[in-house]
Amino acid sequence: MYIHGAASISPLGNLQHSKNEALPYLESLEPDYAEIIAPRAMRRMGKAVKMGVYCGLKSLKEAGVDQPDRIIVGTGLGCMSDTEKFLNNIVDDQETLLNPTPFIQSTHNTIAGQIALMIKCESYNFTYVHRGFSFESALLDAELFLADNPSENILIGGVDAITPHVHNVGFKLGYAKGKVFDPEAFANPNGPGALLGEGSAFFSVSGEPAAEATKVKGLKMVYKPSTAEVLEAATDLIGETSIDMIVMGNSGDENEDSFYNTIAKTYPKASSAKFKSGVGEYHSATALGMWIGHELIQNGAVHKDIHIVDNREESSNGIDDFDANNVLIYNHFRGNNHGLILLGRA
Amino acid sequence: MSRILVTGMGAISSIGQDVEENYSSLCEEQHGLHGKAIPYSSLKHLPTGEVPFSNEQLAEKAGVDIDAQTWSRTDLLGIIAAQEAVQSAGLVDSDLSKAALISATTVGGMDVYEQYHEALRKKLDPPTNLIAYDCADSTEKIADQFGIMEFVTSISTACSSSANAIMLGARLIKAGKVDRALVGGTEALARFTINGFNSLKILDDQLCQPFDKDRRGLNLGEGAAFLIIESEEAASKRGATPLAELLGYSNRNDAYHQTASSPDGSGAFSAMKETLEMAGIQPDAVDFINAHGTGTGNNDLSESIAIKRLFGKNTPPFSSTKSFTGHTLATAGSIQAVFSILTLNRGKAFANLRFESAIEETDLTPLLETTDVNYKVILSNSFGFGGNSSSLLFGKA
Repeated sequence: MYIHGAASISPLGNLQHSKNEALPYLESLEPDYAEIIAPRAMRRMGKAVKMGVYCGLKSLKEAGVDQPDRIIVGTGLGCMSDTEKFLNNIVDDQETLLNPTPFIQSTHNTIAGQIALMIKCESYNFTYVHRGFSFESALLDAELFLADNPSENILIGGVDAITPHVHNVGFKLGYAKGKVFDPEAFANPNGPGALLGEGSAFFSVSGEPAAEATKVKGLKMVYKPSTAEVLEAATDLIGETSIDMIVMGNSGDENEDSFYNTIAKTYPKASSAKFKSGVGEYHSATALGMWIGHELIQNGAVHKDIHIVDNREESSNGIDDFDANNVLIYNHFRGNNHGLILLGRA
Repeated sequence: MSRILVTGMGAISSIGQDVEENYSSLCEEQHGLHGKAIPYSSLKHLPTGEVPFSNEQLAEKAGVDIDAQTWSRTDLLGIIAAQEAVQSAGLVDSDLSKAALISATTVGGMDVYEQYHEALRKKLDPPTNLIAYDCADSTEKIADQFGIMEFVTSISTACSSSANAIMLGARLIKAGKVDRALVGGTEALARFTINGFNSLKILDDQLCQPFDKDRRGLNLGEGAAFLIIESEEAASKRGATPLAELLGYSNRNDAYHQTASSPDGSGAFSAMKETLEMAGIQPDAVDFINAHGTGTGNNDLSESIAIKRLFGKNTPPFSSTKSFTGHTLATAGSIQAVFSILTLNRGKAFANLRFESAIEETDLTPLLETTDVNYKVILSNSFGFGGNSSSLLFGKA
């Protein structure tokens, strides 16, 4: 599978905003959506829908694909802001004369459905909603189709948006941190609770190579594994390949670090990019991890908000000059849903 | 390429707590639309297809400790139907460690979430065990019941969700990723959903009348249904008796409107057409259609037009069992799959209740009474918001 177009929206570069606003989570640096989405269509869209539709359409454009053969989206919580809005309306208006728009928009498949609607794409349309497997399932689904027919162009993506309510629930349950902190803090264990965030990353993929395209060499999903089972999956996937960088999903919750530490120790020559230092934790975050891996292969650079453990033997080059041929993305969601993706060059 | 066989099934709905009870109600033409919404909702005038058991009773049936952790109603319904499917396939838990689980739901544990929502809104402390609210919760609880480890995911494509779960399971088996899959969906009634459909003005405050000229809308229902599907090799290796074969499937998108179906039923038409093409059969080989038939003005006309476009004058008998169960949203596709397989195996096609007169534009009359039949091929339709249109084709094993 080859990546022909990619686009993302994330909190990278937006940490100061959370600090200024005293937000306990990271919020995306949002683009001018109107570049891609007509204002009339945009008016009804919640943030997750806007982020997803924008990245979906933008990655198709980059790939030069007008009509993808399939649209497959992963989202853990879907359009929570509209879900919350509708729940509030039910209470406030005592179940009478409710505006249906937030209900319509709250449906998990709104993102995939809206993209199809905007480009009149009548083909296969799927939405996965499984925590830390949301994006991985979309990727696997695309892989199955491309094995049968490599010439297809498939749009895949992962998107989730944070709300104060989602953070509040997570914080009360001990899953979320109460404030944001600097990327450097990811060098050390950070106590319990993840730094929550949000993001969207979409890819236009095909089974046919193009010069300079990033190749998705393989994918593994492991459910509630032991450390040994994660290592077995990694070994199966990586084989003899020499890994330059591991894009790691450390969430800021030190209780979740041990799996990552084990993988890092197993591949001591690989450097690590702890991407959630700049992005935060959310269900479909692996999609953004894959976008970071893709950027690294394409441009040799990682955003300054991402905490890097540089293990190169000759570290004369800065982290903005990172010549990576093979990148492993490893992310798990609360120890239960583990995803490993291997990227390389075409 | 391997044939996909159905070797087990389980269902719970407003018309029965297992497959046999559902079958009896279908044969006796007893609908289950007796619910009066949910206790903390004020929309009491709307008939709903409620499973007539409390969460405590469901937990007892499922054999889980309701006090040990948070169980949404969605979790409990799902576990009960999944247990029946596994049992009827003659499988034990160890047979499932290398299987896939694909479960569908539209709102997951919303029944839990909405009850705490007001407390959260008032900045009261939510209970520490509130974790069951997302769509993956019921899936992981089912996976953990049976020790399913190989592949676990959840699908939410509105009212086509569980048809799509069955489809993905079949594709994973065909690709050789797994030999066996537990596939289906689970959905509990929630105040959120009832208000959502009410705000869209597509709920019938009387009993729904799918495909009738004077239909007024749909009744919501709840339930869960799961199938065990296997490769032919895996099924024959363990001497399993197949209940049916999954002959074809298709997922298309209407790309017309976020909630409404297109006037020419293009998504429905191409989903049905592609399904038959995949199975390599002509429309006249279809004996019966288990229609989506929600009872809304929009769906039933659009689906009728699509059926007529594909089958023309030779439209086979069809019916909507939503007249029994109500529209169970994500679960509708897998409940219909169970009913389709019952029709193939037991020689009974189930009535479309309360139909009086045909829609003028299409002049189609569904099956009016539960009838003795000898059908070999049944098409089952599931369509939903976001333009999602899916069809499944089952054949006699």
